[in-house]
Amino acid sequence: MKKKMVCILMAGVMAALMPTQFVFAEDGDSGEKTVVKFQTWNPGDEEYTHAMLAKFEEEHPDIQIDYTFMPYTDHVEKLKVDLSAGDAADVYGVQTGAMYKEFRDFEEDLTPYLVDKYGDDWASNYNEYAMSLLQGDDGEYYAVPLGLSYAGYVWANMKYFDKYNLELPTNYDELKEVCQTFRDNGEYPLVIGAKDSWINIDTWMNIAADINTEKLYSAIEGETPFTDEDLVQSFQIWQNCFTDGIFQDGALGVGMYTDSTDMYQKEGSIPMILNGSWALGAYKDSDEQSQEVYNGEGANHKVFLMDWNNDGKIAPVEEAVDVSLAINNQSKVKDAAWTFVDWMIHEGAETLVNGQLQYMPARNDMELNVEGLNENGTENLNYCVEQGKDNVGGYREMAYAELKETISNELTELALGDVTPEEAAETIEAASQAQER
Amino acid sequence: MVSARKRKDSFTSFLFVLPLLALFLVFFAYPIIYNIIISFYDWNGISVEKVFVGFANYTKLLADPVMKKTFWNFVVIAIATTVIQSALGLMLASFFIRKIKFSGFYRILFYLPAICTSTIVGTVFSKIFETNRGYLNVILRALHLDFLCQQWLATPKTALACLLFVNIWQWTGYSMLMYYTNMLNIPQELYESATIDGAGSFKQFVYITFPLLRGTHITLIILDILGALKFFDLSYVLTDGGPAHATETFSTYIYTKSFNTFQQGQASTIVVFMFLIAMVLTVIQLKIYYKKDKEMN
Repeated sequence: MKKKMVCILMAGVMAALMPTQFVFAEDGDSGEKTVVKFQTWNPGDEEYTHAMLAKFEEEHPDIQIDYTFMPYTDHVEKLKVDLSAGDAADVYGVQTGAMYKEFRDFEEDLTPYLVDKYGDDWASNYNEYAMSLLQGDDGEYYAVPLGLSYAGYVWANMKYFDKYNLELPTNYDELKEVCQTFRDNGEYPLVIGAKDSWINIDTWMNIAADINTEKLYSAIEGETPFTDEDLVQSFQIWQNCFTDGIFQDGALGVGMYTDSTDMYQKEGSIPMILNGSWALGAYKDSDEQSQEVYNGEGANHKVFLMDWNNDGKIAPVEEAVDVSLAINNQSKVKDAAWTFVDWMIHEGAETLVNGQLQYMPARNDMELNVEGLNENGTENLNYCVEQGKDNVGGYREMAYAELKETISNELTELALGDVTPEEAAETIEAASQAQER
Repeated sequence: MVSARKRKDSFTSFLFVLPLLALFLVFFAYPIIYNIIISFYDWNGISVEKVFVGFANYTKLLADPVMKKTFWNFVVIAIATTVIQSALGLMLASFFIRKIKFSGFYRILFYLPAICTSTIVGTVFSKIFETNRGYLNVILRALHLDFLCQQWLATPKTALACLLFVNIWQWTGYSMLMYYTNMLNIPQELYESATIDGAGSFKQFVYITFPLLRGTHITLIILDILGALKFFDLSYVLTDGGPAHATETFSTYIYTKSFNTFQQGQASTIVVFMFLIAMVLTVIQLKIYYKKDKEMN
């Protein structure tokens, strides 16, 4: 009888212990400090990120930052699960476009915080286009920008151009000739990691924006059919890049990071690569190989924009807020979270932009003065800044995930030669019509 | 009085089972039921609001060409891995069961890939299969066999074959070990009698070894088919389901639907579909095992 009673008691204790585990996990305070959980894919898990967070903690001894780095897709995955479980990060990185829109139910409206601290005119202190990307349908702001980035650039290692006595190409025809020369000499032509859909979409958008910026964005918004001849031409040029030998053989089998970027940034073994303004960060990379490629003797790189349709005008860049910070509206430490976010978009952004060249500045009052950047880096940075000011075609990240997926699929089919540009346009148009906006 | 005691005893027994039952309900039954419920909703997997759409996700799934391609890939992966992996495993086990020199070392060598994570295996093979500087094409070119060079992972016709090759390479050692350990259980007297009756090695293999490994064949078939059903990591690392869905599997497609296009309802529908396939396989497996038990009794 005694044994039985003990057993029953133990079973009861076991059952009772289960819920208490969850109770302990809910507590956000650690001693006297308020713990703010911060999860993002960007800034990455680097020494400078930890140093930046340590600086924040030093200035705010009552707040402790619990930083979690996750690659982008894992970040989204973890957030989805944690938000449902009520155990998500208090502050998290958001990408404008589909992610920003889909997570809306868990994003705190930051407008009152910003108005309270900086007045009604606070938004005028930020890049206007970036703020238009962050403004919700209700006119409120659910995230604030840490920095900006621009897609659509071609990067060239001039060592190879000098070796084969070549000039930088300015249009598609010249690019084709340059790539052929590189191929004839056993070098890679223009490299793209076309296994990754983001670079395919970036590049196609750049081509389409070069042909007709207005039609590209109105098509994405469902106002112009994708079967419009200008857009069909953009699909044709994209396909030609594979059939004309502009892109390297087997491009669909390799990703950008780090299959392709390592060859350019670390090995310095390829002449050209497609990548965005964020690749400027490689100048500040502490890695020995990158230092040699970017800061070694005679290192000379050029970043430029293509004229894809040979009309004498270079393509515009696509702008993204990279990255913006949101506060979880379920957070129990919203005030501390806001203190952190506010610090990040000011002092933190200073470290990330001027210290590490991770992004372009999102704040108008931030002076761009990157520490220790060599002459070649400064030249390329100035070019990116100039294009970001005067030559922005539109947004980089579309807010329609299903449409984006269909475009990505069709770009692959075009690359394989399985569909014609007209067929691809029709498929995308069908998806566009089915897309809820 | 007796029935009251019996009731008390069964109540006490129930209390002992309760923690396990609670765990089962929370961690097994609830997710399955919740997933089935979600498959009837249009939901991005994040929002508070879900829209009931009835069987719309199911009709969409049945009409989805990518889903058809994914199902076909499952069939190909299941058949190819089951047949080739088992055959190679059996062949290697038959070889190593003989008392040859260093057979223990070779057994370990063949089993090693099975203990490597698929992410590492995938990363290594992506360097081998790369078109321009990949080791495979470099070797072929060095041997003046340029005509055999392919864009291995970049074209649909070779991408799935590469994936199958890597999967079989990784798991053949496991099949080998399963066969090997079960071969050790076959009584030696059978072989001795067969030898006295004049049966050669081949006949002994066909009439003794192969039939007596029936249980291992069935186990491996079931495991390989279930492995094909859950196939994710190698496809994700090597090809990301591409190009043009040539290596898309149920798991990679669920991942795309759930995390790239935020269509949790449709992702759950695919999970239900997978669940049904797994159920059918489990029923077949159990029937075979029950039949085997009956025969033994």
